Amino acid sequence: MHKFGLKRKIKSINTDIESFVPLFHNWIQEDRIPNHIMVDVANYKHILDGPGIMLIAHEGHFSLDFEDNDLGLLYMRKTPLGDNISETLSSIQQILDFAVELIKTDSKVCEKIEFSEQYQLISNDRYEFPNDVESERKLLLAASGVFSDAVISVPEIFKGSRLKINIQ
Amino acid sequence: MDQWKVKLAGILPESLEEEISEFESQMEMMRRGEIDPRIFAETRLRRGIYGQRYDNGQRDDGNRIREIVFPSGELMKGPDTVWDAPGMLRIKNPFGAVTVDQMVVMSDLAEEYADGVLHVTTRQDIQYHYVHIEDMPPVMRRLGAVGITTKEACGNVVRNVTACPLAGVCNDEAFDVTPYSAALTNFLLGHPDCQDFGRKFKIAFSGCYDHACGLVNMHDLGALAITKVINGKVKRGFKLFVGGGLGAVPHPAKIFDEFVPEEELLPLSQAMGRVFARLGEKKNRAKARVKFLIAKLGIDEFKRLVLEEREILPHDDRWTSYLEHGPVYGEKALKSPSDIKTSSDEPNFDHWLSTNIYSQRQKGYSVVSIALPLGDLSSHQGRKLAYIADKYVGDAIRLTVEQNIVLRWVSNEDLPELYKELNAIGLATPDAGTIVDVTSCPGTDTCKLGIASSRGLAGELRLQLAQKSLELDKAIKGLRIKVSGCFNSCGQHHIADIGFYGNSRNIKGLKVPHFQVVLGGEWKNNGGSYGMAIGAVPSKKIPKSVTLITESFIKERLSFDESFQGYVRRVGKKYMRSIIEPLMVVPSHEEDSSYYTDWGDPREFSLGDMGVGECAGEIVTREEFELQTAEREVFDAQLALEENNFIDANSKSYQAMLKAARALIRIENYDVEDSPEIIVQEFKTRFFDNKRFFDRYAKGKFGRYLLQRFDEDEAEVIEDVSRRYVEESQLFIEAAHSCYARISRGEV
Repeated sequence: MHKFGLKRKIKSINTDIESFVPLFHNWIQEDRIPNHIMVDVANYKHILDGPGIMLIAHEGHFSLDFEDNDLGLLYMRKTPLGDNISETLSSIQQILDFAVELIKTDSKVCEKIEFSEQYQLISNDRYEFPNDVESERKLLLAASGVFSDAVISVPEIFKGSRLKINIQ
Repeated sequence: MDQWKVKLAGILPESLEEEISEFESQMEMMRRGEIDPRIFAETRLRRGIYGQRYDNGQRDDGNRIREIVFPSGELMKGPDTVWDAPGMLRIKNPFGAVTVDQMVVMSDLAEEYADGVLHVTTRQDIQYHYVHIEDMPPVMRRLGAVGITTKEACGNVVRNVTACPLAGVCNDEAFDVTPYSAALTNFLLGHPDCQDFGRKFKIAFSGCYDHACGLVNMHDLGALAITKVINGKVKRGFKLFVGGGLGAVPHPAKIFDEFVPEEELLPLSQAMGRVFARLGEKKNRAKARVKFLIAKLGIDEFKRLVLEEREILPHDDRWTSYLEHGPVYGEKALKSPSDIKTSSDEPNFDHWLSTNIYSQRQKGYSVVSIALPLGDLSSHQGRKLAYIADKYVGDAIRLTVEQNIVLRWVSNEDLPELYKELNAIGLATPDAGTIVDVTSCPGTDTCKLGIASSRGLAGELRLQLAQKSLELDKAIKGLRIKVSGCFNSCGQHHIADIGFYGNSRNIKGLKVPHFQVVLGGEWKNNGGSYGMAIGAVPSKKIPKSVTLITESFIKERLSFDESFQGYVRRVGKKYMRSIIEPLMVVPSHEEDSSYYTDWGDPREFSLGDMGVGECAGEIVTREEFELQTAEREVFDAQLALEENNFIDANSKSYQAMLKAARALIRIENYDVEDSPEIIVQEFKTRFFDNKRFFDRYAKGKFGRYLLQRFDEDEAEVIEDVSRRYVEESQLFIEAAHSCYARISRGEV
């Protein structure tokens, strides 16, 4: 019960996303993400509806994600975190926000990118959280606990896609 | 326990579930240190699980070589391969065929377990990267539930059987090779005669000779469809090619037979497998492909041995059963045929129509090529593409060796709408099969053997060429560019008009990424001839070299009819080299440091990340493999015992002994029947009565366990008896290992 992704939406970007290739390499060189074993950087910019630039880590991947043309910094958790959904989501949010802060304070890109306060929560486990009403209910409940003051809604998604929750 | 195992029970074929469970047992044995890492490596390779760059736990981060300390610590999944390091999974798609359901599931898995990308390879496979080994069983189960296997996708076995993606709809083919490639795939998958190769064995089918089709000239076994009139009747058959291959030293295939009747295709392939297993090189993996065996024996002797083997093969109904109702493949058009519509409001429709459409033999239908940059497709695109395919063509989807996807049986009037829908998901890029459509192996992105960034270069070339696509001279538009990250030719650079393979040069103590330029290879005629290397150019100057080479061709060709191959042959290697020579100069680091990094990678270039490749698999003999299978069986018996499942413990421990005994017997009697009576009798005659199995101290004690067990009536289902059986089985297998070692040393 840990395979969730959280995406922090990007309001505007004024640089080629390839500038995140050296930035992510730098995170590896300087061990910038705590508790993460960082492995490599992958460039998928050539895929229109894809993961963009990715930092691969054992615990979870970070990517400048392009799904549905909706750019954001996505953190996709791969290994267990916490004992329940709320704890997991809360930890994932902390990790993602930490990465966002790193970008906001990076002198090479900080002035060229603006993050919004919108998040998108993505369930990445079709066994535990298949895209159905019951899973949606559980996820909404958990998200409203973690993002207590937020407006939470369920976006329209493509048939068969992973369950998603918008958080504003 | 894998939750998907329960969920998919009854859906997944029983035999596949058994194999995946076996693999889970082997994983557990590896975790407990009860299996040789070498054997586990070959076992996982044969399940399609491949190593990936940095899986030795080291990475050059641009400043220094760093250790990547994974939580699994000392636990390995093969020699020098860390358990927790992300790896690759190769999915076999025989002849590139993919159904709608399969595309959906492959997309789901890419995002749940990999990096969200499906990568189409140059052999019609799909690869996932960055997958954890613990996730492999659920992935394999979910793939299995939609009819996909990863079995024998890697390792020293028969790899994915490829075929022309136009098979069945092509205007020039002799006949549809699809049913034959399907039959041969099923027949050879896991076939006992194909488990003891020194290297991999690749098979391809083509429907015609003139086009690239299945590239039969560069395969270990290539089958080219032809027909012959015999006694007034048209007979189907194949011209068989053997011993072709690229790699560091490319070998053009030799003709095995001008016409092999269709009913002989499977038995001859089986016989070939036997000869390769028996006589192929096992120790020196660089010389272990069948092309080297053929070079050593000569084609005539190889053929004689194969035909001799064919004569003594025990009959197998499967050789011809698929021919009984006519060799057909069940792909049908979803929609009625219609006339082509060339009008659309979409701005790039005409360009796309001119490069990405092939008119099928069946009037009113087209094949649509989806050009994938670098062979990549995101999970979201894959899911949406499945939806589009379902709407327009159903399951008529195939992957191509040019790392693209084709949709077959598109009714012509649907082309404008289809374009619109593909364009909306970024899959209507024009220029499929042109110079813009550059193919590339994974190179330094994920491959342990990669020297230079083939994907980085291919991406850059694609970008630059696409920008001037509409202005490109017709003479060069149809050329092919192919890039490999090293000399091993996974990017098939030898058969490209313009090919590149990665290497490195030292400049004043610093390394500079280079690519060797290979010109004049022939993509047509099934990869008809190989190109020639003319010199290494710094990676950053390769795009310029493409410009110079193509401009020279346009200016200097004798006529519109002179091909690029003809031009290169005519002007010669020395002249072609002179064109690129000015680009070979490398400025000092101080003058221009960009030369000292590779495409798409800001790190200073080095070779520090290279590892030991797994393309060759581990050299594990058939006997070692079978003894390991016996060990796995006795391990399962132990697990059953722990769960107080004495019936299973009894049966598995007995089966384990039989398997170990059979492994020994097969050294001398390859075709021994798989029945307990025969195995025990053979074991007694060949190994027990003559004391070859005897231990120095225990003498015949361990061998007797099998003989006694065979003679015993129904085993008692109580714990004490089961425990004894399991222990005896374990000891018997240990003794079998010792006996095998003595045989290998020539002592008994």
